[in-house]
Amino acid sequence: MSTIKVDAIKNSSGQSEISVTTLKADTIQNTSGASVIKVNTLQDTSGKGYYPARAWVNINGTNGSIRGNENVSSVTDNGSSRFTVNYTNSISSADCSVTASVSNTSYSYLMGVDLYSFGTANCSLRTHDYNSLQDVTYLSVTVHV
Amino acid sequence: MTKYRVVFDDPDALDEPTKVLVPSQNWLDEAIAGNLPPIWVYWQLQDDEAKAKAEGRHSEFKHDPEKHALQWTAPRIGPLTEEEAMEYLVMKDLPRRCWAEEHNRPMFKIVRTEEVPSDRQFRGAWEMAA
Repeated sequence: MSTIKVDAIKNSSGQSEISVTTLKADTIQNTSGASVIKVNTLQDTSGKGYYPARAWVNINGTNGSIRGNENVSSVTDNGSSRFTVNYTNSISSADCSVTASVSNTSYSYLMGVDLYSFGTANCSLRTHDYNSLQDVTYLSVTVHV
Repeated sequence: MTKYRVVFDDPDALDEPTKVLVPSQNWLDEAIAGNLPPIWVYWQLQDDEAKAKAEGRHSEFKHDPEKHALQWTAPRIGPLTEEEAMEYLVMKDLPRRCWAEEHNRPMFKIVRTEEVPSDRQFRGAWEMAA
């Protein structure tokens, strides 16, 4: 039975550090049964860091509908191929990185996307072809801090 | 999938097309399950960031860690209906000037998806609100 229930694991100096090469489990839960793991940093056993996205979303740029997301409460279709992605939980810093890509399944010209506004609660983007704003089939946005 | 959208006009940009806010189903599920913090938690963060912008220090802005953590640590407000969740979302994600300030006509309306104008050059959320 691979279930580990703990409230805290600490090393001998009291730091919350776990260093393992392989951890095999079907479920890791706290003692109240919730499947939540809280950490401040993620590293492999050599100390190399992992940097998870704070938010991501895949948008249908023709109507603003959301195909999939994490930490996104809504998307605003501002008209004229402009969108605002509103985060469920604000990110900690405005000094962030927003990465976006576009794809249009029925359009043969080069496509692009501009980030024209960003902050800790949302970011705004516009999609375009080689000379004018243009709706796209897929607009994907990922946010890191 | 949610059946609601919010159409709204920005009072600072009335010549622009009416905007359409599409809720995330993940977020709605959390709202209906009762996992949202009080709305003032978000307003507090918005106010701090707006102040930093006004003072010209937005590029280096970081939230106060204690206020930021309230998004997860503040007591939850309990389960909402889908309609209540949409009203909460208006107060969270629409610019405050759209819903908190008085105008000579309504600036937004919560509508069913099929009511959203297909013409994205449509202007006048107030016509839908009439």
